[in-house]
Amino acid sequence: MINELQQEFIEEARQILKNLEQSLLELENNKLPEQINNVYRYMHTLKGSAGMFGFTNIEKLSHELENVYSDVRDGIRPLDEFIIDLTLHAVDVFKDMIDGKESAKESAAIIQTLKSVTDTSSIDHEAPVEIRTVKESRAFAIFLRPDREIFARGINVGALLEEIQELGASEFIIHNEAIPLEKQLADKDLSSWLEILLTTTQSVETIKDVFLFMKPLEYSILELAGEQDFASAHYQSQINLKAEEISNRKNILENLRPGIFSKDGPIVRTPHLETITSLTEGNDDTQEDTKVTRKPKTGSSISVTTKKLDQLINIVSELVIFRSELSHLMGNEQNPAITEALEKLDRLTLGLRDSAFTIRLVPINILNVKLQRLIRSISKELGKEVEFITDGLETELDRSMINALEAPLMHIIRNAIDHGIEHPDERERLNKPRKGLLKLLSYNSGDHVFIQIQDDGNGINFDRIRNKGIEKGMLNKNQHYSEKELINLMMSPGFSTAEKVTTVSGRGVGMDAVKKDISSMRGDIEVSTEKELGTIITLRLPLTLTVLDTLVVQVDENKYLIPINEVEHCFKDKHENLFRKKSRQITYDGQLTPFVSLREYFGVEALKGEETVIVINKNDTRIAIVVDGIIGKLQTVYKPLNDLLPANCFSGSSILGDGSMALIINALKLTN
Amino acid sequence: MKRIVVAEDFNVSRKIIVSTLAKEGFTVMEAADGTEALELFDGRPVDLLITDFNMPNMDGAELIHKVRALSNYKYMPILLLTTEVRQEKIQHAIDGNITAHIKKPFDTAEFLKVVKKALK
Repeated sequence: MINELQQEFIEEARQILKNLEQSLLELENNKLPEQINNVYRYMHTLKGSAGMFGFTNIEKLSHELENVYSDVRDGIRPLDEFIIDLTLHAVDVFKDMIDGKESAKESAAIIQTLKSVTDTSSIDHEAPVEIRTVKESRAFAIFLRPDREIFARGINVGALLEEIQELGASEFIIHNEAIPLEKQLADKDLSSWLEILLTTTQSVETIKDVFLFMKPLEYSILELAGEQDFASAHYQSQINLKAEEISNRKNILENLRPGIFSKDGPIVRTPHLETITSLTEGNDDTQEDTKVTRKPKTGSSISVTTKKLDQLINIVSELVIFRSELSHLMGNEQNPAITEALEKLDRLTLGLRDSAFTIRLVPINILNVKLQRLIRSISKELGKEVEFITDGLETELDRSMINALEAPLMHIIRNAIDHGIEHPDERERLNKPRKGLLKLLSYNSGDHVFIQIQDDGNGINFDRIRNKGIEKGMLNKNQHYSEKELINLMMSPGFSTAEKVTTVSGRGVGMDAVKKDISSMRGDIEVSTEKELGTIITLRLPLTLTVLDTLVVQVDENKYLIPINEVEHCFKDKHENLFRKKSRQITYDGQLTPFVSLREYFGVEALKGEETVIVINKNDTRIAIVVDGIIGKLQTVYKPLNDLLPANCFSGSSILGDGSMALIINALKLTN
Repeated sequence: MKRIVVAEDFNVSRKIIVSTLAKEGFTVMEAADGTEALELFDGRPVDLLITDFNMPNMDGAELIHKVRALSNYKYMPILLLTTEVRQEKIQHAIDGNITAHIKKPFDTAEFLKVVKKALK
């Protein structure tokens, strides 16, 4: 029987395990003392609360691990792959324990192994941790490869370079400088690219702001935690440095800000450390340590169960509906006091709605740990070396979308490592760094969130797709297909190019599943690829799934909703004009577009006279819908339909201002 | 004093943009469509063009192409105001000619940040 307190511990423990996993994965790449300390601290916290709530199995195992990491922290024992592997394994066992699964044997085995490698004699486990808080200067490398047409876009590159100089101390390394840079800037013809070393106390956000008008591929920012980062895959993918060049760059940074990489100098941080972590409060140990590694981004945080949150959202949604109902009822009321009160209610309701929805937003970062573990296990399995770089993962998305995003993201990453990134030997032969680069970046633009997965592998093999398509009878042997068509084919059901079935990918479900998942979130997917250089997959997702801008249309007695982002054009025409031809097609934008009359579709008597045609463009497919008329625009709260309703020409439902329900039309399904 | 041309057919939007910019001390010239806007590019210096996409007579894309063809305005920053998602497709065609998109409706502070950055 689990009581409420134990439930609370479980929630907390899950959070700790997540942080723990993250730190362990960081440790694998880079054995930073602060990460070791983090692992130690998480174990300590876990042990403490597990004991308090009667989870003795967890307490026991975490105690052993805490001892190990305490020794590592104090430099008594080295940290090797073996210990990290073992700890990651222990994390899985902890998860089982929390879920109440039988795990005594596993736990005993881990403890046994730990005991055999640990010497726990005479160590003071309570040794205080040194705390340092400095307004730290951080080192960055910025790679600037503007398109040649950058001046034609009205961007002043000279001013941009000045802005970079204003950020802190910097040194520009100009590559391909056949013509002096000043002359290139004056002639507005840039043939050089720039490698900029910068030390600054400014935040990454401030640095990014400088490049506001640049396209994602035109610049790249890399935080340098130490001189080892000059040899990182990210750096190497930009420029391959010789030992002597690395030491040059190290000297440059040392001149810009003495001691930047030294132990006594500014605090060294890794680029991946920008994780938002909620730390448990009330534990003296953790509170003290917090200062060392994390600057608290927000004052404090509490965790709330999703159930409670969903309840709140539901109530708010109802309130929004009630608000419209009320203004509908008061429609003709002339009393100014009532009108004013109503407006106030309006503002409050909308404010409440907006903040309630933002609570649901979570950073994409929470998927990071899972993805890192996936990458780790796949690359080990396939014998490939992969450096995983993330950027902008603090971008927020609706909680439900984050969950739905997990499977497609994992799939794309799996594909990138399996099909994209080559084996280390092969890469060496191709003059690429042995380690493949896998980049996950995310950014906001308008009311959409973009997520991009880039790899520097061999790109999509179009010949292989073509051959496979022909083999499967999906393509005509004698016809030429564009790359776009082949990419579309790759994402259609039943298509998978893996030459042999591996455990990693090629299990029959391929990119079509990804595409389906993404479109069910009302998102788009775009693939761009270059032979031998790599592939970029961009996902475009709406910020939230629950609020939808719709067009309200009338058909007979009923009202229906059409998502406004699908609407391309509306016009009126006489019934007899539209239905003159049997083919049910109209000419729009020079193309024949099929149309569906909703009256006909629902079996209602045809309307004589003027009707309204709405041209829909969804996933590059055009279809027109004929309705009686347009009533207006409405921002609605989307509610999914349950499976009881068989008609799949509706994607969901919503409540109108007068309290009645309206169905949301899924236009593409109308023609089937 | 920085001179800005604002081309937008929808009066309310244009007035809001013009007054927002005027409050910041910019000299603003306004046009209700592409043809009107093009007339303002008579060789005198203009520091920034802010234009809508959908406009009668001459749309934003055509305006941008015509302005860029004039030697005085080849490297002038251009901000394109956009509303609907579907336009993004069309915008790709002129992406190489503009500095940035601004999505309507926009936040004033955010808008001014972009404008000031473009004028740097």
